[in-house]
Amino acid sequence: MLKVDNLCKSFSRLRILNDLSFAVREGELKAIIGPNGAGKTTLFNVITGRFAPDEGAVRFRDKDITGAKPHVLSNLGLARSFQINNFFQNLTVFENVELAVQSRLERRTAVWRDLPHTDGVEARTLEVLDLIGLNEQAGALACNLSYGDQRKLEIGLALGTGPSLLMLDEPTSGMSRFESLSMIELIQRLSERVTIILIEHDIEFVMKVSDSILVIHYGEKIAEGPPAEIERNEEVQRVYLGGL
Amino acid sequence: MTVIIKKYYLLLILAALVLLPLASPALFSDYYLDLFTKILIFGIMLLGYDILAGYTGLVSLGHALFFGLGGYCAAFTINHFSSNLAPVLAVALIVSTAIGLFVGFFSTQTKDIFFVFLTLAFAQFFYLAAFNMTGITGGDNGITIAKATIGIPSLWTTKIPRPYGFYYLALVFFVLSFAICRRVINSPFGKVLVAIRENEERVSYLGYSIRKVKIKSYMISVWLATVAGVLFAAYQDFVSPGMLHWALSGDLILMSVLGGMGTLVGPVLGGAIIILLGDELSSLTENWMIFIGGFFVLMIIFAPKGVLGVLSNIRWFRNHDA
Ligand SMILES: Nc1ncnc2c1ncn2[C@@H]1O[C@H](COP(=O)(O)OP(=O)(O)O)[C@@H](O)[C@H]1O
Ligand SMILES: [Mg+2]
Repeated sequence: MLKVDNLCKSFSRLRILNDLSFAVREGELKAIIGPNGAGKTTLFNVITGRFAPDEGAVRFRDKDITGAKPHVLSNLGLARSFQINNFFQNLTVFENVELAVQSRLERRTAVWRDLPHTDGVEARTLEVLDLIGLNEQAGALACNLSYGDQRKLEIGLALGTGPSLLMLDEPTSGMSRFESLSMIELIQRLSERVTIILIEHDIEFVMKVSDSILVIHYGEKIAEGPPAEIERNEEVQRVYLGGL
Repeated sequence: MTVIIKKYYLLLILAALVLLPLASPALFSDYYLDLFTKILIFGIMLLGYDILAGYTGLVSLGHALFFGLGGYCAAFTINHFSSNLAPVLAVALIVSTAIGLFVGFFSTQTKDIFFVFLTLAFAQFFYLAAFNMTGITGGDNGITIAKATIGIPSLWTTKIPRPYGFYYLALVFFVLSFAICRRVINSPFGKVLVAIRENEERVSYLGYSIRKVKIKSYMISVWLATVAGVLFAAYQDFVSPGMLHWALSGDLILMSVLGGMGTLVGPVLGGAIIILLGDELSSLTENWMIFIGGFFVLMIIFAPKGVLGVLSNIRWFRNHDA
């Protein structure tokens, strides 16, 4: 479904991604792990059009999307969430998700129509809110949500666009142990209906839910394979799992 | 009673505006009718400007360009082609659409301070052109315009009577503009505008083409500024480079911020306050801008949401649907 070939990216001569290649199959949950600063978020940024890669190619469903703009990728069915909350702080939870749902309409920027009654936007928005468990906070301003709920809204925005590939950047980051339990449960439910690439630092969780794991260290792939294989991999243990 | 007033306050304001001329000259002189006509004409431009600056978050410092463009188009069309307001508006809107698309195309590639200065630069170009091409524009002396007319040619036409005719003409255009802008902000498009103001990057990650939306928003403000410029020039029978000057663009920002950006009603209120206050103060002292400036500074410090923000904090005004 997604194929990344020999991706390279440098910031002021510092190599952040070095010749990185991997592929994601339809329906799988691919986890990306690696120490802080390994280049995981940068990888997401390069795939999703925030930065253009220096070298390499990205293909999505056999279409070359190297360096494509975020809005183009979104319309192809690729959605991402952000490690640092990146939603609309001063809009309500409902309005946040509504914007994502509305984006799938042909007349999403029509002037002579009303929302939210247009073309089932309201129903679909409530559906997404239900899925992420925020329907009771629908009318609350996003900035007034608890941090844990904000992390859910961050995913809700990506979900609202009805993606076929969902890229989640550390959805549990900064969450309390208790909060991350419901997040983990949400991701497990999502993985049944959509292909997911998940950046996550909770190794236990990753080992449990993922079909395949990609390990990055200093922008290079040091291992890739099913959880059991990764657990046994010596290099992974040395640079990453060693501390466990 | 208060419930009724709250619910229908826009209609009540409209009724007051319709009936206002009846009070002249008994309660106040025609001079104030003139001020109100100007407030309505500026209001048209401020409504459009609020869509761009208040809702989309794109603060232009070059919007006088389209006000002046409307004025000069009116001057040329009325003096050389037809005095009828309908073709005058059509010509002005066609010209401003072409120039608006050109300026908008380049300006919307930038944002923040770069947008401010690029729009300013384009406007200054036209200002200097109008100022220096004395053969065509009369330079600093401007152009005197023949009396504009309304009606259907060969059936019935009339010179727009003053002061009442112009007042009601401005009122009709103002109400139309207000209805259009209300429609815009309540539409799917309007929601995307606010989202762009709040977090442009995420909007593009949701699949919207930011550029197209921004240009549309820009064009709405361009058209309303043009209409205002046509009406203003026709009303004054005169156009000069002053209508293109950046100080006028600055006034738009001042009025919008003072009244409360992103509320439609606020900027119009701000415009009314500045125009009325400026008029009162200028009859008292030459340095009236100092007082306006001081007032502005105090507002920014103590009421950053503008006059409308202050009003909506007073309990009586709450719960209306502005
Ligand atoms: N926009 C940028 N400009 C310069 N350096 C950056 C930028 N983004 C990330 N980096 C650097 O790239 C490295 C990898 O960052 P990141 O991809 O965020 O790592 P991870 O998500 O794996 O923790 C870090 O050293 C970071 O400082
Ligand atoms: Mg990261």
